[in-house]
Amino acid sequence: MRRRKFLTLMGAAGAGLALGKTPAHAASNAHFEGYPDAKAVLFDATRCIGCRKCEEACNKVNKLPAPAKPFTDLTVLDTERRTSAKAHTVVNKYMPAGAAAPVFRKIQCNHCQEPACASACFVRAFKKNPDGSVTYDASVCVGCRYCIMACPFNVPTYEYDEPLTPRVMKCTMCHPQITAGELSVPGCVGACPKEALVYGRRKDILKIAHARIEANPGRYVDHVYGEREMGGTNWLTLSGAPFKEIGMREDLGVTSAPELTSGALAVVPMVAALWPALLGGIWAISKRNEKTADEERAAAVKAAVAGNQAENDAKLAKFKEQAEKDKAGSIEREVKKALEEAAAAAKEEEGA
Amino acid sequence: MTAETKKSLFTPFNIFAGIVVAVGLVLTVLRFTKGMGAITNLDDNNPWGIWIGFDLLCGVALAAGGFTTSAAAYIFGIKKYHSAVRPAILTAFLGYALVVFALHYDVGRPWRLVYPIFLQPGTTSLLYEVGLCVFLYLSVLAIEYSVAALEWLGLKKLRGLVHKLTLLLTIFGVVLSTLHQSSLGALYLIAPSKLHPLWYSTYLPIQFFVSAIAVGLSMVIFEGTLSHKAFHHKMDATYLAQHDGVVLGFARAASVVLAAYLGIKLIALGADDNWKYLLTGWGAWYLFEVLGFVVLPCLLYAIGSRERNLKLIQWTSGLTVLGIVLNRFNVSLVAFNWQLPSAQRYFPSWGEIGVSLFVVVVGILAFRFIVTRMPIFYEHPDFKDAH
Amino acid sequence: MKARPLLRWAGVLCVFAAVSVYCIEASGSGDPKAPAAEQADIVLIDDMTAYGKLELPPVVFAHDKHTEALKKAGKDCAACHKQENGKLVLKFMRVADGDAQAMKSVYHDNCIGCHAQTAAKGQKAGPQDGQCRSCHNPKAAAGKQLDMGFTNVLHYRHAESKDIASPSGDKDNCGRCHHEYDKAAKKTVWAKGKEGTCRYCHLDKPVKDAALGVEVESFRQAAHNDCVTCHLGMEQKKQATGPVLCAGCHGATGQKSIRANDKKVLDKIGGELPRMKRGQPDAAVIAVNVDKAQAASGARIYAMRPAPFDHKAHEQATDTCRACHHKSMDSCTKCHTVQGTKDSNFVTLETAMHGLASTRSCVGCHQTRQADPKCAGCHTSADRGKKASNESCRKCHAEPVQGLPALDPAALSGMKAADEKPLAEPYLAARRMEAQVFATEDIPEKVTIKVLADEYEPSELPHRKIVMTLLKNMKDDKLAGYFHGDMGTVCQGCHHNSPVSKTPPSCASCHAKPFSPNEPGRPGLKAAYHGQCMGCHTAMKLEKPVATDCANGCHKPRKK
Repeated sequence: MRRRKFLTLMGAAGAGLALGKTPAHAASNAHFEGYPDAKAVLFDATRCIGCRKCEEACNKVNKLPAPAKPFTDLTVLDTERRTSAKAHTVVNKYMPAGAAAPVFRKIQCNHCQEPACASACFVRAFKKNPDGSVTYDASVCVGCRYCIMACPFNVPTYEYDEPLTPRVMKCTMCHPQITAGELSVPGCVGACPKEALVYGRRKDILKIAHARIEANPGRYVDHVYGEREMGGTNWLTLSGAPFKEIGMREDLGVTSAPELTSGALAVVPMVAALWPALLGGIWAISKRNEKTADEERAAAVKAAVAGNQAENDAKLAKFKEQAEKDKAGSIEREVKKALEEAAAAAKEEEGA
Repeated sequence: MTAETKKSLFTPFNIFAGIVVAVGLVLTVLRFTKGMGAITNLDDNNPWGIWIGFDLLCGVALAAGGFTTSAAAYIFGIKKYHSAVRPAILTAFLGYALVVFALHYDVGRPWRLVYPIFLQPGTTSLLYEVGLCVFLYLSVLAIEYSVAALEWLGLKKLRGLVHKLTLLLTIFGVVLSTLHQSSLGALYLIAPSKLHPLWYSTYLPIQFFVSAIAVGLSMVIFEGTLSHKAFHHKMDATYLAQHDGVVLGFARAASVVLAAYLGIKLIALGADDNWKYLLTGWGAWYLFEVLGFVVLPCLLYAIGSRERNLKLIQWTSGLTVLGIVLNRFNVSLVAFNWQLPSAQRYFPSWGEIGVSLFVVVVGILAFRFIVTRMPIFYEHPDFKDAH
Repeated sequence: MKARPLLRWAGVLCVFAAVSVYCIEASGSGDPKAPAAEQADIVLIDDMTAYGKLELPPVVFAHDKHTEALKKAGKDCAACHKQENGKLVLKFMRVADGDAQAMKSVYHDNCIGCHAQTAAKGQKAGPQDGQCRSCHNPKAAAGKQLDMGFTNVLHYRHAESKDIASPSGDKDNCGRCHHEYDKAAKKTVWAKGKEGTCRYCHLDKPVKDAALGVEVESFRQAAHNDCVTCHLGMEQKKQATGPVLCAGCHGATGQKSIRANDKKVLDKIGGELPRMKRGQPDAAVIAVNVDKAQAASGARIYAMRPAPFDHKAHEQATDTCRACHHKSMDSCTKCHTVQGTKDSNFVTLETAMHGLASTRSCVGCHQTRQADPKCAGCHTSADRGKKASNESCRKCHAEPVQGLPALDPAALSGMKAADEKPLAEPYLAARRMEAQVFATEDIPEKVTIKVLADEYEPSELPHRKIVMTLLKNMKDDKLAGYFHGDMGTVCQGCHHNSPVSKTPPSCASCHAKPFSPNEPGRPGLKAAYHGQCMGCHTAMKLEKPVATDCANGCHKPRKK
């Protein structure tokens, strides 16, 4: 019984270990502020007119298959869409409560400063580049799709219809094209007729975003989406309507994805190091218990055996003594008897 | 093959298994020619379906009997559990092998499954931890199991060598199990915005680990019950003699572990102050899971072991197994993406269910093949030296 | 047998778990019900709050419903309201409030009493004794009364009405409503020529006036006392009169019919409302008050040029005197001095005239007029934060005009309104009240934008048509006409940030490269064009061309 109780205690000990929050992370003041010269894109929803020029440019730059309906067909805006393997970016139309006109919002990879996809990938197929972009390497990808699970913005997509070489597809901020010198700004940014998208150093872009809010009281919600969401992103959004009303989640928090999992990861070495020692200890204790029990039993048997011997010896000795005594007595008796007989005979001889 | 099994080749189970395997093979061809999209309901919002929720999460959890039993028998030195070790190890080994087998359907390029371990490890990923541990543990289980196979093959020397490693392997197995059982829960830590707050908790890893112990114990009881029906003739006197003791002991342990699990669940609920959600529809579903499949089996196990009611314990083990399947489904499928409109929610396709069924049937067939041939439920006459 | 209760508990749990599955269906719904229809006649009877905490929620009382019901039953207001000095008392069945118990009895005895009587007659009646929650119902619909204001038209209709006689036999009937309190005579009297709006004295809550020694009724009390009782009296005499029911003034339909009648009256007199007869000036000069002694000492006076003000024109442009005269009918400078006074709550003259936060200030009010789609095209894209130009200041603060006497702040300080008129009028007369543009031939008819032509053919801008449309929009608007009275002001709507010129610099001379972080406020050429055109079209609510209809709107696809 005692052992089984111990088993439960072990479970509790494990719980205690995992409870301890990431000593490596939480205790330090280190905080990744993003690469110093990282670029960012600012999307200003108050400027977007929903013309889909960005979608068209993205399609062209990334050599994606032509869509079923042409980009000039704006009826597709009537249904809410998301990114897909064939469209790295889409524009959706929203009708916020009380708004006079529809509001458009562009969706694409937000290029997190500490990307969930990169932290989730078990082959390091995702990379956060110094220019702020997050890119993907299909040559090592196993296709587990944990990146898609992890992304808080529902961005990465997958080629489900590809039997043997499916890829994860998402916006690259045109990193390959810009690196190769083919483009100076991401395709969508260059195509926007209204400068609803602008591209520059994230530090500058943030300042500009705040300046716009300041300079146009009442026009914007006083928040730059992506400044701190999920640890900050390199794609920032300004809006006149509440972000919730244009399909952007306001409950994501400011904790980056790596921070969310660092606690669990920190426990790994602890378990790997402590468990064998602990389990070995338990084994040793149970072994020792067993051994002690064995020894005690042997001793008891031995003691029992030894005890009997002494008793027997004593009995024997007593018996012997008794026998000796008896023997002596009988001799005496015999001698006495003989003597008496001899005396009687002598008397008879005297009387006769 | 004995004459007895030959006679019963066309049992209902065999016919059913044959159909499932045939369908499974067709689905396999479809999967690798037309792509995952052809036979699954997976999409960009729901990248993980039942192949992960059932085959991986449940498969690994249900295979937890291996490490719990071997730990009880070898590390805690409870000798009367020795006869339960081999079936448990075999189940675990098959379980993990099938998990890996099923993964070949789910990942895009299955031949790259070794990439994270040998080519380019992504050490920041909890999936990496899961992968590495499952890989290592599968190897450990293979070696542990090989004792039986080697006895069957009659390779005495090798068998003796492997047998000497038992303690080391057991400790290693427990370490690895602790890590990956908890990491399966930790996989979901990265997505607080997608998992319903009643199920999301920073304690997810511990919840998964502790519940895995409970289900591991239950699985030994459950599977023993089933095996008794099917393979009674294969069991030796020691196994049969110890069996009731194993059931009672495991039932009591499972009851305590379930109580601990309930405690952790409640702590998680309180720590994040999620009480308010209990009044919603999701709360009702959560209570259904916790009351019906944690509290209830915990009580029933306690009653069963107190009254030495084997029947009750066996039914309870089924309930516990079901409960953990429900929990894993809730975390991975039901409460995941709970904020999406219902039209975008996931429901498995027939193809996915078919493949999962196929995997399970392959497992049962393999189990049957092994226990009818190798010394699992009995001691090999040549190796009476005990374990 | 210790385990039996345990087993029972397990059973209970089982049932609970099973039930909870069904609960999933049940919960989740329950959207709040749509708010009840707007009800103008709902009165919350919460008089008892003055006596401490309420035992039950206040009564939600539908006034019009009762009025109608009583009318049908052949009863009138007297069924619920007493009379005092020949006037209806607004309080329910009493002239003055008593103690808590008495008040409670007034309501309970009379309300329930009447209900009981009605019920006894076999008629439909309200809640009876014991049905407390039917009246004291916290969930009942809250009332929604629209504010009622006395506009200039409404004022005219009352002032000109032959049915409203002057109390003193005067030819004007202002004294029928306007009054002040004569302390000596202990009654209200008409102070001719000193009329103000009711709200100057009758505030939100009744106020004890120490100087007069009376309690001044709240505006609500005063308005109902005077308006409703007067209307009622006239109705009883079978004369045409204003609303007597709550909904007549405070309901949406009631207000609509009032406005329709206003329009009828206005149309009858030719659309222009005659001015009020209060002796207000036609024109005035708004000037800062200068210390006369300081001015006489020869010290230099720093004061903004006085602004001639067309009082008459502004009367026409506003709905009520209160639009500007928010506290009294006095001149603005009486309270708003350069440094502000306690009376003005230290709002300075500068803020009072220019503050954007208030629609009572000159600039604030003018700016609200820019929201008109006719104006909004140019005026929404303009940078609000920008400092006004000198030209814009001069529009009000008069430059000396040759042949006219200069407006001297020192001389104007303390001047009577009547004396300001001759000074202001020549300046006002000299103003150009119509928008001006350059000669038609100087306005390019079409402008072809071809710098960016790439995907599309060059875009043709109907330049002259746009200018003429803007001009047409301002034709009947004196405000717009005056402020666009200089050549080239209209042009600045698009040709911004450059001096006025017949040949302004091209857009490309400032807007060149697409977005540069060094000039974040300055869009590139393409964005500048699109921003300007689309922004203006949206603000002016022009349906066509649609902003996203590139190939059919402003551009034509380029032939390949």
